[in-house]
Amino acid sequence: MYKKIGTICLIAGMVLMGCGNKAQTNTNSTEAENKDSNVREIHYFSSRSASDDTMVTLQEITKKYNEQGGNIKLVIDSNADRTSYDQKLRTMIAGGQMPDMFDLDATPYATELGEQGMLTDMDAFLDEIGEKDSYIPLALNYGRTSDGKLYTLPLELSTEMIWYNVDMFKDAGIEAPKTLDELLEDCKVLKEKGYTAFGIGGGDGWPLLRLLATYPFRMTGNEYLNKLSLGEAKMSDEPGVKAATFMSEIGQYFQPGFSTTDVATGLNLFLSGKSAMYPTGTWELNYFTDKNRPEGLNVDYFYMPTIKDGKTNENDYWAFGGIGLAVNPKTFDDQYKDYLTFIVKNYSPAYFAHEHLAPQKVDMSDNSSFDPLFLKVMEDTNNIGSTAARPWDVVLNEDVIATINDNLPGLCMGEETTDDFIKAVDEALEANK
Amino acid sequence: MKILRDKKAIAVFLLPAFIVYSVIVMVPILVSIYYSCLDWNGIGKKSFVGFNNYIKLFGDSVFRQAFGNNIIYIVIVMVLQLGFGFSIAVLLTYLKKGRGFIQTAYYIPSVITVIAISQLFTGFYSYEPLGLFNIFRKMLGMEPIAFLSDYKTVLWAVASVEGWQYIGIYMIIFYSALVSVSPDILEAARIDGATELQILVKIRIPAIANVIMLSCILSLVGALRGFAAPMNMTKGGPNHRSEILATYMYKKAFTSRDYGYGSAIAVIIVILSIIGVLLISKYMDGENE
Amino acid sequence: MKRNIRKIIYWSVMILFLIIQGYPVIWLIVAGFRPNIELLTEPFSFPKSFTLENFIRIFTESNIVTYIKNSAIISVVSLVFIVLISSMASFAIAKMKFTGRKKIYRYFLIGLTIPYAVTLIPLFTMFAKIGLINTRISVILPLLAFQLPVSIMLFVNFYSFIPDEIIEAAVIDGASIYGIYTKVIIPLSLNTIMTVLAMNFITVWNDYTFSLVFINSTELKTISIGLADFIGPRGLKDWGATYAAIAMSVFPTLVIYFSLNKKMTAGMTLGAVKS
Repeated sequence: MYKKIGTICLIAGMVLMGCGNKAQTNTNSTEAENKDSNVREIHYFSSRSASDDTMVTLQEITKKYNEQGGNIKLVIDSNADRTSYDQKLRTMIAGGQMPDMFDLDATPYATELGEQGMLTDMDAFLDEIGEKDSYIPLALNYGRTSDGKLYTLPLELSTEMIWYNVDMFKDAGIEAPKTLDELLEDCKVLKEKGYTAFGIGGGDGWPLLRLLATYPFRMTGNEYLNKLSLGEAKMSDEPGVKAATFMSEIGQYFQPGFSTTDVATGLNLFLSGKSAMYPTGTWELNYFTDKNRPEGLNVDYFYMPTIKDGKTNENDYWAFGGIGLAVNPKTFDDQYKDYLTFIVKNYSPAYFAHEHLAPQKVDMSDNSSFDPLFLKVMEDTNNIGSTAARPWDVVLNEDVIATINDNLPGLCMGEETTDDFIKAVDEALEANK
Repeated sequence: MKILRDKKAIAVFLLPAFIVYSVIVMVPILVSIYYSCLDWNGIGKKSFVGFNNYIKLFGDSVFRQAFGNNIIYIVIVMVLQLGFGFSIAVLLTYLKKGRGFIQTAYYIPSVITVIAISQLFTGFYSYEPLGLFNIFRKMLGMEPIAFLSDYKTVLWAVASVEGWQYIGIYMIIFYSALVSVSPDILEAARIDGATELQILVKIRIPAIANVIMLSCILSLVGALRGFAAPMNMTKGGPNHRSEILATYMYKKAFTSRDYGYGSAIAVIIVILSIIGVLLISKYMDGENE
Repeated sequence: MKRNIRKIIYWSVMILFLIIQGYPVIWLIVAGFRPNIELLTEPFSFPKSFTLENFIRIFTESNIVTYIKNSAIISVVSLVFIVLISSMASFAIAKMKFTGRKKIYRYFLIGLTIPYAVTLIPLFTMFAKIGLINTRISVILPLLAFQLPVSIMLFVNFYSFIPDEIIEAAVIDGASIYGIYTKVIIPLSLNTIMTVLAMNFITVWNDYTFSLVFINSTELKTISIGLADFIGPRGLKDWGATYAAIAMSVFPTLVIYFSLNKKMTAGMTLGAVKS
């Protein structure tokens, strides 16, 4: 017995040492390789899953880069659950462990990091390599923080729309709404006809935030939002009150239990003909094409409805560059810079080839292989207005957004009054000035 | 015996556990106390604010709500685990065949990761597509409920998951204790004409009082640690109706990056935990003497 | 007659409870074999079709094999140390004589109630300073430390049943204190060790919090965090793949449980019952 225990201890000791050593040897061997062959590992902490086309494209480009004499290994560590990604990134940075490359929205957090000199200035970088003009301004400027600085490069170009079930609309005798009032009216008619008017993935937070932001955007453009973030406006101001009222009205047309419905389930409700409308963005376009849509389901889409005497136009709506790519200035040496330059110069055509809207201008002459729906949406983006709506979760402080996310479902369900909601948000705004 | 007072040996036996435990569990708690007096967002400067975070805490209506919810949460979890665990254990003692199989089957949920369990129950509670519970409600002619969105049901729904998952553990503990009660005594009581209920209340329960106490501790501390189920199912929502202290702390620290405030909540949780353990261990000492 | 009715009620309760406890687990395992679309539209109707596609997808498109390997390594190492150092400390607490024995025991018991989340921020800064972030040790150490209290409680509880006479006899035979521990105590506590192993395996294998916070790289990820790999843009989740991965993560715990559950129950009887 004694022997056995001894052996177990011994093995345990060896294993634990092994564990420690393993991480150690790994780094050692990388260092050794570095000296021998100059393979440079770039660690990219990503909020997208490794099979996402953005990541696939980056790996393709890295391969190409290495074929042309480069020596980079792009190690993608992905954390596809967005909430935990944000938390993890913040903990890593707080612990002094900033990755070489990571995803970052132009949030107040990014501003803070930038002020501490912890982010690479992309304006300077793009100017230096002369590539700024290659970007679609809408996509690039989406990454600007509220003080106008650019710390990230966009990897996508997305727009958001609301899909609707054509047959249900016909049955209810209505057409795609042009204004927010019409939208509410349509919902009412649909509900009377026995349909779930609006299917939404409320469990993931952002779809509800988009609807909340609609009224203020139509009334003031992004001005109200910017003022909110600077502490110059309150939720109890007119646009905020309108927004809250709108949510309390449209909320009664959501599917029951929407506050824990995930996006995939929300999408599926619509695709299986259980809800009449569904808000989403171009990243889900694939599900709506003639080829992939369930048979017998007729759908169409409309963009953000307008209001009377609004400040923004019909062709101003949700459009953005997605969460951007940020670079750790501490590891951004010449080799890394050369690699990033290569990415900037080659990314968009490669990404476009995967049938996605790209953040840079690409040659679209040969598009015969693309799905007609994709081409139609692409055509829409060519006519997009100059003011793109900015998502609230990018502009406002995390704590304020957390408060909104916590309180919005109750408002939509009619369990909280608009006053309760406004009060809670204003308290959070006050506390985070 | 002298050999049992060997200081060096005591150190050899005790120190590894003592050091690991102190450095990884206790020191961070002290550090948390320090952090709780700071205003720190994780990247900027740490500034000392004294007891400000605690003062803020007592004026925070969400904190008060989380506190109240947490107590309800603990009660639900304990009632489910101990109540069901005990009842089933008693029933099991009357079983003659297939006991092993049933025990094994009842225990299975306890070994499954809470991530999977909470995912699964989100589906059970779902309204659209119709979840299992709502299918039952419909069969019984009742209106479906969106359990996880409804203010009245959400806390119960979330707490029941953790309660349900670990019933098996308490069932096994209780069962083991119950069968260790001497069958002769039970038989004697039966011959004297005692009903099974009387036997249960007058003989079996007193005989396993210690085990019941131990189970109460295990269940209480398990419930106090509850976090993953509410976090994964509702994130404390809607409107904090299923918020408990741990989820609120986590959100404040890691979502809102208010590490000082989050640490203050953490300290409150620790104080509660220590009070809980002291009360219970005091009670146990009393029993032993 | 009355007896029969009683019997029927009894068995209905037992079987009802069996369904309550068993159905969710069976559903979880079966779900991995069902097509995505069925999981989204009618998850609780009787499965219409089965497919291996989800499993093929997770094995070809994700690093699930690596994740399983990592979870296994972390579990084995943690378990060995948990058993070793908690049984040693418990021996000192239960059988050796020194002042403050009870206080030390209580000090360990406090840890029973400390939620993991409380220690995350300080641990992270600490580990970052000494370069432990993103190593397996950064997960093993907290798991080890947090599992000590419950293990120590079980061991102390069990050791207090070992009569002092056995130890005295060993001393008379000339055994050293270390000899007593290894030759007398350990062989007597094999069942308790199994209990401690089985209970801790489940906690350690299922750990989510520490791996989530301390591990960054795909190479070192464990299965619990790997479950979140199947989320597309803006939260669009691949349910089929997620449930297949869940089945993969649940499988080892079931195997361990089914092969050890007799020992576990036996150990629990010894560990938990005072008569």
